Amino acid sequence: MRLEVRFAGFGGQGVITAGRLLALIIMEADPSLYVVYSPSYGFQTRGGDTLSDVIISHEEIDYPKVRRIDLAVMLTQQAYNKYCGLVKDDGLIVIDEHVNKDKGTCGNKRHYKLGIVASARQIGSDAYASTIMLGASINYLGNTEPLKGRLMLEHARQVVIRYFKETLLGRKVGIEDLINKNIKALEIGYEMMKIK
Amino acid sequence: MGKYSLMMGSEALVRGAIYAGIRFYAGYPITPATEVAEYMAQLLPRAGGIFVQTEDELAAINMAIGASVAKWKAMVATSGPGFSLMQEGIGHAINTEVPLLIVDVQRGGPSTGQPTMPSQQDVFQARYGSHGSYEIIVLSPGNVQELFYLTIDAVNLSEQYRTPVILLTEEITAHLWEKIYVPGPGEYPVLPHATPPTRGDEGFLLESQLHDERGYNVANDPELSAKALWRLIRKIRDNVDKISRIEVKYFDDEPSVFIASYGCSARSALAAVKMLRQDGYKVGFLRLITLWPFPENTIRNAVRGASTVVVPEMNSGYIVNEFRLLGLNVVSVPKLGGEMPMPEEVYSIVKGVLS
Repeated sequence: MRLEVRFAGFGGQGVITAGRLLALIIMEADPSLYVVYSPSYGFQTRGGDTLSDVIISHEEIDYPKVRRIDLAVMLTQQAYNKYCGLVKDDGLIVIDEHVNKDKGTCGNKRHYKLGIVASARQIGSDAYASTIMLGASINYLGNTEPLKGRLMLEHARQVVIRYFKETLLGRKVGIEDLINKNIKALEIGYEMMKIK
Repeated sequence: MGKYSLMMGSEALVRGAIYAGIRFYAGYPITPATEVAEYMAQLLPRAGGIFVQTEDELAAINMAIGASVAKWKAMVATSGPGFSLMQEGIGHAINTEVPLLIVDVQRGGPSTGQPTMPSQQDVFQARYGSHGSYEIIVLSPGNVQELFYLTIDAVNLSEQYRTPVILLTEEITAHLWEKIYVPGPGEYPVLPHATPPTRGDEGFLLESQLHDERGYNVANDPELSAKALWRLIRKIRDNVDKISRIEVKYFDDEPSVFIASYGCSARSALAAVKMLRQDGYKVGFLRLITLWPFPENTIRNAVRGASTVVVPEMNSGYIVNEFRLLGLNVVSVPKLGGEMPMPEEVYSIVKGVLS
């Protein structure tokens, strides 16, 4: 059983972070699973296309890149047009509410629109799109094989707290606030996802 | 007890090197090997080691040779263009029998070629790049977990055979993040560091011309020179079966076709084998863990009964020639441009061979 996830968007939306966190959360949820995480950004960290892929499998992962995506979360029209074709026929395409699916060539696939970027701005910054799409993905993947019944929101909470504590080690103020906002974003994202 | 960790290939390499006792690193930044230097700069001083950013790759390898002689397990890491600059130093380390780890994170060439894209184009440079007659050990890790362990193996082999060992990886594996197991201290074997033998107060002579066991120059003596050089060659050549390893899968039903590959390309090859098996085709899988010395006997044994070996690799077709030399019917699947061969590509080529 191989599961392929892609997060794609614009630099600054936390697409890379979302992928890394998802990989860590899967490891926390089921240590027996194999996980590959592959970020792609080059010099685009401050704007421009970014994407990150996570592959999850119960056996050693051979080909390490995505070919047939099970879940794609795409925050920009550009990302959607470019990658929707890679999503499996029975996969799920999650797009931000401003993305127009009629502009792509994937109309017959399963789409789900979420107000990810708008909710992130309400929390305070585009970067919270990261933990919002993560929350939504956790909910969906937690109902999909091979993660059904094993991947819980609680795993995500623990990992997100640990991750931001470690990566923000050098920061003197505002860590608590940042972690709280990310947890809130995670929960908002989790609640948004209604597809089982 | 070790632990599981999500790690970038470059970090796994660095942690493997430190685990193996590497305490001296010299290098010059180069895409896609810069992350190795970055993690080294961060982690090596904490382990009591020294990190030096040199003015160029020539300085890096010569400094590392000096450090190794001066009792520090040492390494360098670079990519194509830097690897070219290091070739003279590699020969020097071979002739002076200095244990050393040389990492080449392969990108596309020739020249500055494709700095950010992976390739396997340095497979022959790793074997034949330095001048003169010599044998060398070259390892090719297949994934991030193996990158960790093979780094330790490379250092161990360099100590055991007192020779530089090349770890030949690719941009893909060095930049990929995977869940890996990192063993605890003492869990994986590590050999002590070998330095030149000293005689009392005399110290030792480090001679890059051919020399006898005391280090005295014998370059003008045909007989002693031949003896000295044959010894360096034979210590590798006579131990091929001890040094070199392969991985074989899906061979129980004696398939008539094998897909043979190495490094990241082997991941595509394995995916293709699984697809073919699913569709009812009997195809075997062979992966070279050691590229050089080329494990002829082991391979011959593994693929006996097979009529054809299909070899996907990310160059214009290099290792395929070694299989051809074994008298096997080969199909080369050379891939240029910087992308891994797609499993589907390999699948359809093999299907064509079978029909």
